[in-house]
Amino acid sequence: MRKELNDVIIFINMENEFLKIARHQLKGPITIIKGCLSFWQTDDFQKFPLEKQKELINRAMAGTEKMNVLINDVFLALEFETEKGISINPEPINLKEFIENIYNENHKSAYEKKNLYFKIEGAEEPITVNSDKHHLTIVFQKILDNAEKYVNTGGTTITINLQENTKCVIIEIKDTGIGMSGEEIKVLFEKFFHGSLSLYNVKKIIDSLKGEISAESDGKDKGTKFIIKLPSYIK
Amino acid sequence: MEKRKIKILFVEDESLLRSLFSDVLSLDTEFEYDLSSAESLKSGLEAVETSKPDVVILDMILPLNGEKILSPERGMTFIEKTKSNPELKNIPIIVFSNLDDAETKKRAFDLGADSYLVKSESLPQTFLSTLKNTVKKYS
Repeated sequence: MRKELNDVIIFINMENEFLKIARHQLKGPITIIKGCLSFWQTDDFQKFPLEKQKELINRAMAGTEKMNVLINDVFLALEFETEKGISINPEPINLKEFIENIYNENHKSAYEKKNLYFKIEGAEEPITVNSDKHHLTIVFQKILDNAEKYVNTGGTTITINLQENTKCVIIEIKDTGIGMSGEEIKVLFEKFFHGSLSLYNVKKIIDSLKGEISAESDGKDKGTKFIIKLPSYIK
Repeated sequence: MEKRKIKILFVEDESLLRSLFSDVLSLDTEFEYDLSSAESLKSGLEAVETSKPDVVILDMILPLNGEKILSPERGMTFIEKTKSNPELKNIPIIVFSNLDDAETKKRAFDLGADSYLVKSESLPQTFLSTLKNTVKKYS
């Protein structure tokens, strides 16, 4: 009985900590948006050159986008804590087509702007998984966002390699970005790594899809490789 | 008449925020500002010692090895080390953080912080007037 009570207390404390961090993180973009808008209120906006005015608008927009991502991430992370967890609706997915569509719809223009290349290797024969489209989309969006964010020079390539063996499908996402230290790899999938819930949610989704995810890096400035394994499709 | 130049050290890891506040500084007609920044406790402590700024703007939550825990300890260490160094103790520190609990504020003041602004409640203009009042108080 005492043990159960302790478990409840630990859970409540953990939740309080989570909400405390979420509240703090949401205030970050609010500060930016509010700050940019305040220049209009005080007519200071007119004192800036046109280029700077555009920059302020873009910054406020970036703040709203950051907030949007954070709100979605917080609610998704809370969904994992519920007894029911996330709802999984499996259907056959041709992985190569699926990832190409995600890239074209969400990342292509940002990658091109940064002069980044993207390619999918492997999958000479179509590779299919029986998985949940909605949540798998979130996984690839976040991984591709992450690669873009942490590649610090243009002209580099983000490569996705697709392979299949008798047990599982292996998806490797490799970038040539800033890489990570061993210490960072250890805490990469923890809540609020770099102030974000993205990779925590990616790991929880992959777990819910009965897969595995890990990351490797040879160190700072040596790129990062994410390896995702998903169960093979059994017809 | 030439404007007085104020050296500011911004210990803050959020680049969007640093840009926003450097914009408001550019509008000020009274002073000229020389803004430098540091993104971690270690680089902040090194920078305050080498550049000896007129004022420090300090975020309490500073990352270490990519890990950004929601604890004000690194900010507290910055204040404590700066204020206990005879050569640096007269440099005013304005805390600029989204941690808004009374305990954190009290500890920061007890250690020697001069002002405490909550980011999401402070407009760039409030930030500028606090900064200028602090600089004038110490000149």
